[in-house]
Amino acid sequence: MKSMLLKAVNTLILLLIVVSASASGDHDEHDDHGEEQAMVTIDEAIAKQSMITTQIASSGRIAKRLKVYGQTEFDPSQISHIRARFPGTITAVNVQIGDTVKAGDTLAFVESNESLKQYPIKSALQGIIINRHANPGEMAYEQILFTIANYKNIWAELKIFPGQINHIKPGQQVSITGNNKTTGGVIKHIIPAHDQRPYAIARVAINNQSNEWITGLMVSALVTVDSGHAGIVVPTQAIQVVDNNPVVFVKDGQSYEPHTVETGRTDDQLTEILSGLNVGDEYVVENSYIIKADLEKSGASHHH
Amino acid sequence: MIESIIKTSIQKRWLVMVAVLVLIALGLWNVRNLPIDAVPDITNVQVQINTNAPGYSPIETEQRITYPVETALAGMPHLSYTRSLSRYALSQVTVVFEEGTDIYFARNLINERLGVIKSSLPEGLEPEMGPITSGLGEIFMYTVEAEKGYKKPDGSRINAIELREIQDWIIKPQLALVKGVTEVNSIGGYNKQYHVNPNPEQMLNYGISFKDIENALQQNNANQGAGYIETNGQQILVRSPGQLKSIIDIEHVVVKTIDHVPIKIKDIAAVNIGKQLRSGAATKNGAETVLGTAMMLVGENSRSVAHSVAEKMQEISATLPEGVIINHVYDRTTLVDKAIWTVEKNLTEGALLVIVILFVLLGNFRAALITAAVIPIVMLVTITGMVKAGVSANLMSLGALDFGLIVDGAVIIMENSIRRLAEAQNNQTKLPLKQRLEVVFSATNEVIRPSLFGVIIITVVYIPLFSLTGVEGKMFHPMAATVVMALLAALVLSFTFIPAAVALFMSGTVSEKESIFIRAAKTIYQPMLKGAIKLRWLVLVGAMALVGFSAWLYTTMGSEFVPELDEGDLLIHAIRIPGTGLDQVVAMQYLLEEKLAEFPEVAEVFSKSGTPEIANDPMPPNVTDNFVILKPYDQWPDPTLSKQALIEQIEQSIKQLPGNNYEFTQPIQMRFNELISGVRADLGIKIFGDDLDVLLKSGNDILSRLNQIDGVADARVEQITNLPMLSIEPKRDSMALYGLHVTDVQHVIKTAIGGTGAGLIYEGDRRFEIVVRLDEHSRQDINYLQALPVPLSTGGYVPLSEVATLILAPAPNQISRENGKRRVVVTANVRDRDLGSFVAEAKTKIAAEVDLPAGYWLNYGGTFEQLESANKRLSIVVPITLAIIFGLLVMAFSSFKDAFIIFTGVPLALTGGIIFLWLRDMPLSISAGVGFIALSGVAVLNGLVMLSFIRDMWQQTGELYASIIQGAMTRLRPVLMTALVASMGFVPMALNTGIGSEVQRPLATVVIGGIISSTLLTLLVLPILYHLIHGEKNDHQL
Repeated sequence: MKSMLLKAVNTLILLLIVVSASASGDHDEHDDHGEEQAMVTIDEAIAKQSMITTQIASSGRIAKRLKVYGQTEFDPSQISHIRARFPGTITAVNVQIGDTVKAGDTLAFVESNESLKQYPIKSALQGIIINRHANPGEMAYEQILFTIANYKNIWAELKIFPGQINHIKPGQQVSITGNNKTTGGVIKHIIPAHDQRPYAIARVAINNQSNEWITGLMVSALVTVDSGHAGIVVPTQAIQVVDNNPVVFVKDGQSYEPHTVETGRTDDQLTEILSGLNVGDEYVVENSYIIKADLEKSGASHHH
Repeated sequence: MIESIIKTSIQKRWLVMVAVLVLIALGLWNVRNLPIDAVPDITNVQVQINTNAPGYSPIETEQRITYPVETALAGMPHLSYTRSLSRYALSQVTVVFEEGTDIYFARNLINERLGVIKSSLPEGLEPEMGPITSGLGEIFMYTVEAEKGYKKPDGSRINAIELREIQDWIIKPQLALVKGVTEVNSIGGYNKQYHVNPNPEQMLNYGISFKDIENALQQNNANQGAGYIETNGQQILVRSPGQLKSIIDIEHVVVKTIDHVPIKIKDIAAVNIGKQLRSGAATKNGAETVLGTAMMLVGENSRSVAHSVAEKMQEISATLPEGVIINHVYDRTTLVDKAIWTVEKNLTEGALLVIVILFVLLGNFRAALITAAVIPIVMLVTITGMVKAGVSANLMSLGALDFGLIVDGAVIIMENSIRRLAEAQNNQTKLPLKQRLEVVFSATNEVIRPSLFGVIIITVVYIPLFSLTGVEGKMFHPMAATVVMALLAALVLSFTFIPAAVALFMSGTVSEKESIFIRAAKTIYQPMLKGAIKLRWLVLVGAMALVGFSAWLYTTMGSEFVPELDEGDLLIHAIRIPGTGLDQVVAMQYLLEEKLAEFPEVAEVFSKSGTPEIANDPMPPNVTDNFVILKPYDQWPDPTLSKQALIEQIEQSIKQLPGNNYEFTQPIQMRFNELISGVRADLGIKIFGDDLDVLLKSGNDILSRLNQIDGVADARVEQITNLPMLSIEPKRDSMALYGLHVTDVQHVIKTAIGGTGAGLIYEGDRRFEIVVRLDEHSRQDINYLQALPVPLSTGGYVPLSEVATLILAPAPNQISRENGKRRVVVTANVRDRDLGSFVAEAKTKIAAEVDLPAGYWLNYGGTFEQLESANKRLSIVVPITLAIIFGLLVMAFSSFKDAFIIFTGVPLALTGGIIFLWLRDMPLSISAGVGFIALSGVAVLNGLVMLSFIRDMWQQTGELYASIIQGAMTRLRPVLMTALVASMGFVPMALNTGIGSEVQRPLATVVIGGIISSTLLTLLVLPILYHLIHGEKNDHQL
């Protein structure tokens, strides 16, 4: 009997130990996430609520543009400094600063010291008088009497730094912005900078018929450095990086499959897809991040 | 000694009454000082040191801030350990002190240490200690919102910047004054800032750099005092006000003069009110909002503080601008009230049941009243004790109080007293005083030993609870302390107050009518007992079979840790992949909250994403805490739906939303988890070292080894990488060519993208930063940044891409350190295998197969550690406790045999408890364990009462059989009474389903079930055993 009692006591001890041990041994259970499926399924209505939008893969144009800065300058061929041919006394001046003149317009008359004959001083250029150093009664020697400049054609001199120079070539399209105005143009030529600065200068003619542009203005320019037709282009926002690879999510019914793609040229908005996506595939454009988030979420945990 | 106390109590009975009155008064006084909360505070003694470092990436934060702070703290007295977290713009060092360290002492020490290193931290960064609060601290939350449909006079809606301004400058300063509030935390909206967005082209045009703009702003925004002058005896103060006041003022600051033409800010930049680069957002019911949290000072009374916060809110509401409202979204009072109501209901109903039973069984109203009076007195004494011991009133501490159990000792004495008084009265109507006192004394003295021993034994069985440490200890120590205090109080009262009161008030004719109940019980019991003694072997085998059955049952039962306290609300962590932006998160929250609000059980949904202003909970932006406030259960469409079932429904529904992972918890529970923050998995292997890549590689090595071991589950390496980062790395050669320093380039990057502060705008008390940075569109565009012009000292500029490489690559999203070293944790759980052998195998396998580089080491931790130490402690403490009980029994009886007989009561008592748990489909838990502990005590007490009487009788008469029958019959009433009051006292607890009842229910169930089986045992098996064991000497009775 005693042994039985002892056993009972032992059972009790065991029981108490086990109760406390097993009670304290419990822990938070984590869901087994299982093997990751490389596919995301999203209900159509929820996809709509999440503002996931799709497009059909198609061809398009890629226009890669590079941003550079520069300044507007006179066209040296469109500036004329007019002097008197023979020294003499200026007898009459016909123009004021700011007057517009045509080629052949008489600007002033000078009485030659030698022949004592009056001869006219004529404009050689169509343009605006921007400088006048002549008044009746003054002597005209070697000095410049008038400066005429034509602003109808000015130049943008864009600074091209060494890292950019490989991309810039004459003939490229440029969109120039300055003082809230934008105009188009073409790179005419590339020349080294003055006084051995470490950049080159790309020159672009600006048509200024409207007189909207001034010289000496800081401008920024977008040079189209690489442009052409591409077999498949997608908006750049459609591309997400999954496991260090660029992917595009292709929609099939309610499921979205990540396609690893090889990207080619890219511009501000579009990216060329070299492989991994076929013309006609329906792929996700906006909010593609949500699909990436869903694909990778099994790894998302919160440690306190 | 006891005898003399009883004698004195009876003689100086008035004095005893006065003393009791003093105790009552003291108790009533202390009721007001008793901290009341829903759950015990399980937070350790810790101080958080937060340093906000705007713009710092995790690696810089760790190197410049976390490391010096951690190093400074090393070697502090009472330091337990430090851990730290370095994230974008935040360094948080958590210093954990040994239990019992005074928090203010600890903070003083830290303050002293921080003072020393202040100069070695980067300029402008200030480490700050977190608020003096605990896991229970977040007692009140509110949102600041624009009224529905309200439009400002100019027709626009009140925006998030304005709401945040109202929170920061109107609400917060007033709320911080409420007594008991230590801090008000804000999240959501945007801090108002004055933004100067320069146009890089215009800057190039005028040859102006970011630094020029900053300098201009700083040098044109100051007030200057200039002493005073005295004119004609009058003193006149002199000042020159030059502060900027508005956007127009800022626009007209002159930056530079070119050819006598002043270039003003407005010529080169747009100035507007802008949004700070925030680290957290708040949403409510699918719309962005501003969320404020009042945090309670540690040790305050959460109910009264939350109450005064709510009151203050009413006042503040009146001071708000038109169209702005405050919405109370979380108020701890609700939970505390519910929990306290549950406890109160249980205690009152239990006490009432006890009184009724006393009256029915004693058949004497006065006697029942005196016994019942013990209940409130004990309660008040216990409250005094709790206040003195610093134990707060909550579900756990009050959860195990059973007045039935407490008055057991008093019941036994009272029962004997009135029985003896009635006997003594048989021949005369009224006893003379002297004789009455003598009867009371001898009646008390007769049963004082067994009842004293019984109560002491019940007290002793609570000792193992004190050996629990850590979280379990914090939860159950208050419970054990309260019960022990109540039991001791009752014990003292039972031999002072009871005899005194009996002597004083039982002066008239003592009517002792045996109630019908007792008489009926006696008529049933006698034949049963006689029959049982005849069929003793059958009964014993039956009892053994029952024990065997319940032991088997026990092995099949599920178990849970501490039962989860239902807080009535839900908290859902929504987790996205690291690197998800705050705006994206807010967009995802809209959908999530919409889905949650669809549930008719949900009253309100609000959420916090990322880190609030005071980083008490430093979450990255990709993690959101969703507070789901549920309607009271009776307002649910289906009130019988369990919370667990609702959670499953919710999970099903929100799982459909793409990109979110969820974890379900509750608000207080979450705070505790965040603050305690240990490794909650079975096994946590910490790898310490320097290089994150090496740490990660070693972590993955260990992970692959762990996965080869049998029984492994959920093994994973802590996620530390994969935060997308744009590194702008300077090209030094190229920079030299242009005469640039690294800092020149970095300054441009910092200002352009992150912004540089350039002074403050004051509007009364309010102050707002002036920030110079690029406009939103430009600073977000990586292509644009490539071409960002960097000004040269020689004039001119160079594009950023010329002097720096821009690389987009993943980087560590946070760096965790422990005790001053970087660490990575590999965690694993164990299924279907015993933890010890798993850990041993893992250790040998890793030691043999994983090669750690020099300077790297491992540390094994996790729950298994606690389990091991708990096992070790309990395997010592439990047997010792049992030995003490046994020793006490032996002392009481001076007989091993009798002690053994009484001891057999324990397994049979446990049997009933286990069967009842099984019947009610409850798992084993520490709560149930406490029930088993209480049960062992009651079982022993019952046996003691019964056996001591039988023995006395046997000694007097020498007739074993007759003594057993006679003794058992006499003791039937007290045994039934103690059993009934103890179990009835727990009935309300066992049946209650209110908030907080989940802790008490298993306990009460176990006790009720156990008392039924233990009473049966005491009444039937015990006499059999006694007869059997002592019958050997003279077995000629049957």
